[in-house]
Amino acid sequence: MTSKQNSTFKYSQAIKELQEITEYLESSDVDLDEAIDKFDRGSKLALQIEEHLAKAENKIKTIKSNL
Amino acid sequence: MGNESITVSEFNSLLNQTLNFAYPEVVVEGEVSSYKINQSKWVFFDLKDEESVVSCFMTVYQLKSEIEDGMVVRVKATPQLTKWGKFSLTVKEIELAGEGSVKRAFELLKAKFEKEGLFLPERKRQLPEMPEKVLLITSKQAAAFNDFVSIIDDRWGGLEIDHIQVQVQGAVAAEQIVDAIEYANSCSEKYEVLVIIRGGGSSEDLQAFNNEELVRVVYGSSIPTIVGIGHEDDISLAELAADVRAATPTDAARRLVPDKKELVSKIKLIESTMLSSLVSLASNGRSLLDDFYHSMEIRINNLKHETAELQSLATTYIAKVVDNSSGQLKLQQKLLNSLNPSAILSRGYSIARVNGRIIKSSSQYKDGDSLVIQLHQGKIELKSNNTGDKKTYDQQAKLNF
Repeated sequence: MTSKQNSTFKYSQAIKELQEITEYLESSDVDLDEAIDKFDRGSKLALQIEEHLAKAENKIKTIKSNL
Repeated sequence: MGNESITVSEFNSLLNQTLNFAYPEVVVEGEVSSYKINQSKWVFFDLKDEESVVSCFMTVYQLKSEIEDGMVVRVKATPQLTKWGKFSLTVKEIELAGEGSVKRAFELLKAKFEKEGLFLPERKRQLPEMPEKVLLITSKQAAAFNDFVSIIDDRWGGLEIDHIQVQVQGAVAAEQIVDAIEYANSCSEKYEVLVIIRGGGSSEDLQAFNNEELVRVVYGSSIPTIVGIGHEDDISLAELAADVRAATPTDAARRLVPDKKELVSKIKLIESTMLSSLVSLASNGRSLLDDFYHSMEIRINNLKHETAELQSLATTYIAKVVDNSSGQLKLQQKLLNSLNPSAILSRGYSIARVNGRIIKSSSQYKDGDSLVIQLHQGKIELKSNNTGDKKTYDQQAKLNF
């Protein structure tokens, strides 16, 4: 479950996009229609990140022993 | 005498064979003195205790630690008589013995690395904020392994950790760790961070992490490194050469991944910032609209005022024009009146007509014509008496006039 999600979801990208959206919304030159679209996108991203954080597990695998 | 003699070389050779048979390898501990390196290749020193001294020889390449006079070392060596008749130990391995020597060797190597710039802060790279795949180099049997994994699980989710099993103390530890780092760098695109950890131990246990080759490989890694060795007070040279120095293995886990609880709070804050930005945008929009309406109202009022002014101006102008026009009209009427023939008649002039047509010359009058003279008031009709005397008549007419 988590590995499939991890392969398609990248925290760092999602967080980066979310921060860009916030910066856009806080900037002075903002189009209201675009702002509403971006707000929707941002809310979805925030939800996705929270869900992944709650569900994703760490994986550990020993690949080599005493090289 | 009488015994069969042998040459000096034969004697040396015989003695060396005997020595080699009796002591193929000896381990000797003693204090170093007269330490020197010739031609950057050959190492010479004496090992001594309170009573005796023995010479030692080895190559620079066999040195694994910094050595100086006064250090207590343990050497694994082969005794040998040289062709110059000097007895010495040919050293295969040398290790530091005792805390004092370990500490001193550490300081010497540290100073050397500092001089070379291996620990410079400006060359340290930042680790990715949220790594997705890392390589862990440690022993699974050590407590550090479980501590590290448990902190990672507590803080984060979705991290892929590849682990390479190595010994973290003893003679082969440094070599195995070096191999693991070199392996990681041979497929560097796979890993975002190299994690090298080991739990606490005596200073001798931690020696592998002060090994010169290991420190240089950590320094040269193309993958960013985080190294956490021993307890908080322990400092290894590998840690100093790493991009990030962790005080302990658990500290390495904390430095490697963010805390998801903190991240969730951050996300909540971002959400609320987004929302307040949107609300503020909408209210700015509303305020802009209000400003627009207000400015339009002012404009319309101004226009109304301007229109009223224009109307008033126009009325005044038209009245003026009308006034002027009526004056002109009166003048024209006066002129017209003055040109009215009947008005002229009132001043005493008269009009003569013959057969209804105005005549302006006596030649237009013929005998027998009836002459009608129009006066200001009334007409006089004169009829000819046919005397044929036109001149007389003219005069008469003139007289009658």
